[in-house]
Amino acid sequence: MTDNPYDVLGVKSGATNKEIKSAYRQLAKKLHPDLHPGDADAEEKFKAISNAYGLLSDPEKRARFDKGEIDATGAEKPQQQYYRNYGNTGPEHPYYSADGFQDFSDESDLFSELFRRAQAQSSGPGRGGGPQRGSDAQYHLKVEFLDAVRGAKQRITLPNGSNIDVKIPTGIRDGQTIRLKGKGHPGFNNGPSGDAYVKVQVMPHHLFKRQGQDILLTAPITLDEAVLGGKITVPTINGKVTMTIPPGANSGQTLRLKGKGVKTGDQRVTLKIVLPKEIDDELKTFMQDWQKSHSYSVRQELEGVET
Amino acid sequence: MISEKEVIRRIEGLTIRRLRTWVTRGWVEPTRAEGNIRFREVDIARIELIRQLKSDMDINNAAVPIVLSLIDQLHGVRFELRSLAQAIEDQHSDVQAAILSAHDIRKRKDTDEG
Repeated sequence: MTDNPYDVLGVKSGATNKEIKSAYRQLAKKLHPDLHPGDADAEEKFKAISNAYGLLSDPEKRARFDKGEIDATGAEKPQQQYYRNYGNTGPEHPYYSADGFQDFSDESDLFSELFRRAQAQSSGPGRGGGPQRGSDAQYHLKVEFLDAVRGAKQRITLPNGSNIDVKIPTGIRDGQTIRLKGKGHPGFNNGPSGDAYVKVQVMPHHLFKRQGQDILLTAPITLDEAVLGGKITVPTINGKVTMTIPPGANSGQTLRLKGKGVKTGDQRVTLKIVLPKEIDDELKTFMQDWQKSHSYSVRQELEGVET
Repeated sequence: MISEKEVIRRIEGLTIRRLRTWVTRGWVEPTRAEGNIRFREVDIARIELIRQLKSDMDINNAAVPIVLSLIDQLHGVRFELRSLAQAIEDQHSDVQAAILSAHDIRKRKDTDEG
């Protein structure tokens, strides 16, 4: 920030230290990022007033600034880690509070269930001097694409040599975390063990891609299948299925296999017409004849473009 | 894990006495392992926030726990709301549309009633 620090704080250049402090306090209360967890600009704004105050609250720096010896940037403080940066981790956050939902139970069973589960998870560590819950452990797990979309069981070996079976829920996404209750570090003074959090990395598949709950697949079809239509067999995440290609199918056209995606999602099959490896004479002759009387245009859209 | 000493070193203007007072009051809840107090990064950020609430914003001791509790509740609500939104995102587009329209209707109804 290079704006004049007096302007940033909204004080006159002759302001007393007390006026400067009071102006800063007013602005800090209004702009502190932790009081605005969702406001992306709050950090910049707060940094500007912090820097301005840092400069004007130091009599020596202020005098040098007034004489024009230093500019308004002063010396920047190291990057502050705001509390809100830790705010979005949910029940594993030691200060997590789901109290904001307690009165929801009358209106929504769904929310009261969410709330109940959240409360159960946030029996936070470090409260009081009695039994203490062990700390949580973090693990990383690579999961094959098909295991992720179908759900599976996978065994991981912990650093202490023991194994745990991790149930991979159907449809888990890359970057999601699985919580294993009581599989973290042991507690103190007879406190319960912490939980293990397993962060999942879903490996890509060479054929399938995922978009939301839909599975995307490209299926090559022959020229004759495209023209005449037909039945082809394609893989889905749960085995092969037969699908019907309508006559006149085109490259890029997408057909939907209802319910063949992740859980309630679909599989979307994009067709790709593939010519035979070698164009034989018969096909060539046929096309030459066909071309004479059936020419058609497909590039109208491209012709209007000026470059 | 971070020791008391390291916390004092990292946070400008913080004394060991003040830090211990905050821990005693339950504003900060470090973990204890084999008799040693250990702080996490989240504790450091919270201590810095408390310091700023007190010194920069002139929030008094009675109000600090109130502000902290409201901030923690807000984070809890934001987290649950975000994960609910992601759960809806994972549903089939028909289900998503049904939820969104039901939400719209409810909002309108609540506004009318209010």
